[in-house]
Amino acid sequence: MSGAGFGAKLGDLAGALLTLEVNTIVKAGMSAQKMPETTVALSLVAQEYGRFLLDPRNGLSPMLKAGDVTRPLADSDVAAGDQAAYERLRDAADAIMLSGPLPADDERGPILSRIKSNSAQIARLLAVTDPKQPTQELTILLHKAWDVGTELVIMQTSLQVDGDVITRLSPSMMSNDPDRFGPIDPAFISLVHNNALSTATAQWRSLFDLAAELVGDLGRRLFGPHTG
Amino acid sequence: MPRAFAALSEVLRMVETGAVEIRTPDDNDPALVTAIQLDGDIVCSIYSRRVGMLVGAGETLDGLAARHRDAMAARLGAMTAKVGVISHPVALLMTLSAWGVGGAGYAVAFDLRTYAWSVVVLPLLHWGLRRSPRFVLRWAIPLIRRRIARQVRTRT
Repeated sequence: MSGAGFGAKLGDLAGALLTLEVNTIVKAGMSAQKMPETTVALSLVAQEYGRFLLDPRNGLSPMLKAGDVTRPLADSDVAAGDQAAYERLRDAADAIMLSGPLPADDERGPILSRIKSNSAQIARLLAVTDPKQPTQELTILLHKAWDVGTELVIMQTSLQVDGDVITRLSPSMMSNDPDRFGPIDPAFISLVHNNALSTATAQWRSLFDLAAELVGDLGRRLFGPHTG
Repeated sequence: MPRAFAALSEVLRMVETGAVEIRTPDDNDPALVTAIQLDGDIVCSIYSRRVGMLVGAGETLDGLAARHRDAMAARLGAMTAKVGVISHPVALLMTLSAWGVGGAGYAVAFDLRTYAWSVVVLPLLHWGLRRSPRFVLRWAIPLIRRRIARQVRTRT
């Protein structure tokens, strides 16, 4: 790898640390499975995305365009979880979004845009990466896709290093339906989210304190008076 | 020793999956899972079926949230420690060599100090070397000479 590539990769990671995002989701009736090895996880995430697009309850009717022919997307198009599968998912989600804008409060909108965006990024990475020897970028992206899946993000907070904080709430948090989250009340979701936020900011602060200490130490060693 | 093995297996798990996971109340069938990604982002998952079972068994929602918060705080404390499973210099060396350049972010699995070195100090030095190698070397070479001289004096 070239020196420029080295710097760019480290710089990307440092850049990613300038923004923090905390997402809270509620998964109904499922058990938490740890992410398996990359090749298996790629296949399972692609299948989950495919299931969301093909589920008749979502009313999306995904189509694929191959040359002059347009046909419905099928399970078998995405099951392998390879580069071609993610390209098909990206194109199918994109076609749905282009066919007509969804209302702003339609909960399918953010999930469709997540499927399109994650599939595009994974397909791009798979074009240059062997999934049996995944890069850090692919591992991080895949873990995020695995964690969030096709669930609706109920609460999301973004913190930027310049001090901006944005919190988004799903309309379901404001709903009066007492059964919308099963046995969980919105106050509990809010509490769990705030605890995670405190953890994220504490980790962030520690990292920056430590970085300042290290850079300061390095500066003192390079430029400060030496007692040799 | 078993504690060290547990910590090491957690490091290896993080290297493999790209995130630290805190699972409450138990690892195999959790009600709350918080995944801290290598780039700092967090995904918090609430499993409503399991929460319902725990509430049915007498657990309170506040109690569950408090247990999860304490577990996160403990994990954060371990990451902030100056020396984790292995010493900082060894962790830094492993991070940069064993997993190659792409593995710099994995340093957070060891401790926060290694991570800060990987993503802040080394990129700064790298940037400096690319912009003006003569400037960096002009400062670095006398520093290294002084260091060697000091070591020699100490030994003799």
